[in-house]
Amino acid sequence: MQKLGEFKLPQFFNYPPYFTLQPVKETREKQVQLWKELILDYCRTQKIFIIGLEEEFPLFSNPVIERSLSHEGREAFLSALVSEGRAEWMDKGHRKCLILWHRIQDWADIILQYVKDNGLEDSVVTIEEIRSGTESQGTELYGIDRTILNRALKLLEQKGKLVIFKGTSADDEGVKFSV
Amino acid sequence: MREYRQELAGSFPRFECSNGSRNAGSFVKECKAKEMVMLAQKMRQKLLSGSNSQTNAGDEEMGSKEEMQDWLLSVGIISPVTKESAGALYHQQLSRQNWRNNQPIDVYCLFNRARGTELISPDDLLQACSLWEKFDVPVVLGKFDSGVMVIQKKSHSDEQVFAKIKIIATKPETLLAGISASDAAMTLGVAPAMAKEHLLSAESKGLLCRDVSPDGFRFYINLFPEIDHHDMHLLKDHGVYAS
Repeated sequence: MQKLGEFKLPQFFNYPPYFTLQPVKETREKQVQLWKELILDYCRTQKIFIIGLEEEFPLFSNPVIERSLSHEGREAFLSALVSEGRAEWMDKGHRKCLILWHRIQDWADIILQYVKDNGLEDSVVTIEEIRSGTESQGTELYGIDRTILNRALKLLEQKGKLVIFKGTSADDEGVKFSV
Repeated sequence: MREYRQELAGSFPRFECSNGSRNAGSFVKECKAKEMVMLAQKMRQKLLSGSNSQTNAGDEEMGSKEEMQDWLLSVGIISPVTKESAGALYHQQLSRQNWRNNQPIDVYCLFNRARGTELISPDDLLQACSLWEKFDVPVVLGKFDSGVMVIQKKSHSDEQVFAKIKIIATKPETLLAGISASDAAMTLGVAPAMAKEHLLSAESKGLLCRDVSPDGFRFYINLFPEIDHHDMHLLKDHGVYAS
């Protein structure tokens, strides 16, 4: 089975037309669906949060069959993810895309679970601890993208589950939970 | 070829005869021999200069050369070129007819050449096409999405061509490398332009899909419908894509 690092690639990854943006509507729809799923799957397992369209993204090329997705193709498939709320463009020029293999709401739920699992219901923790502390090791929170974490925390703040406060530096930013 | 036709058309007024008629038959009977010889010599020169063409450009040139030979024959002018190649000429025409797969423009030219003096207009031909079915003529006028129109034998229906394409596209070598328009042209026995139209047509019906790369423009059998997105690693019939 062909792999990209530890990631098991699907068989159709070796099918050349997969890398050409298909013009026929029905064919295109299927192609888009497959690419959306593959991108989310790959990003989740590899913990990738941002895709730069002009950078080398291993999923967009297959050296075995010597095919690469064109820029147009990359933008088309990422835009499809954006339309579905599973990604966001980070700039107007569509050069960087934030991948939400968990939606922000899902991340918020994961944080609440982390709080419960570690008895942090009334505690104070730094934001950096949430993403790199010992308690988060082995969980999906470990290594989470800071932008996404902040968005999820803001969402929880709006719901009254916590309060965010600034410290003396970025490393000191913290939250007090009231779960 | 267009230039030759324009030139042919353009040269007619110079030979307008006393009774005002311009057709070739009248030329032979009523125009001065001298003018006819001048015209014939001019045509011969064109024919002879066309004989050194290369293959690709030569096809176009060959067409007009044969047309002119035919025109000369029809007005009774025999030139050494015509006399020598008369037998080969018609054989070439026939094979060219098959090779050219009968786009209306070709049929129109051939028909007019055959009729000689009483020419038909392109509209006449198109109208005639619509009457074929009525009179049970085993020929149909097909139209591609691109707008290209083609005259085909009834046996050359879309389904038959698609069936052929499907067979080609599911061969092991095609599953691996796809098929280009020129590959298809050879296998289907049609001109590359025509083969491309067939491939594009098959694509639009969901039978094929395209692969555009530095290697060129190729088509593969469409496997997208067969890929189960819930079970992306399941081995299916076309397991050649596994690695």
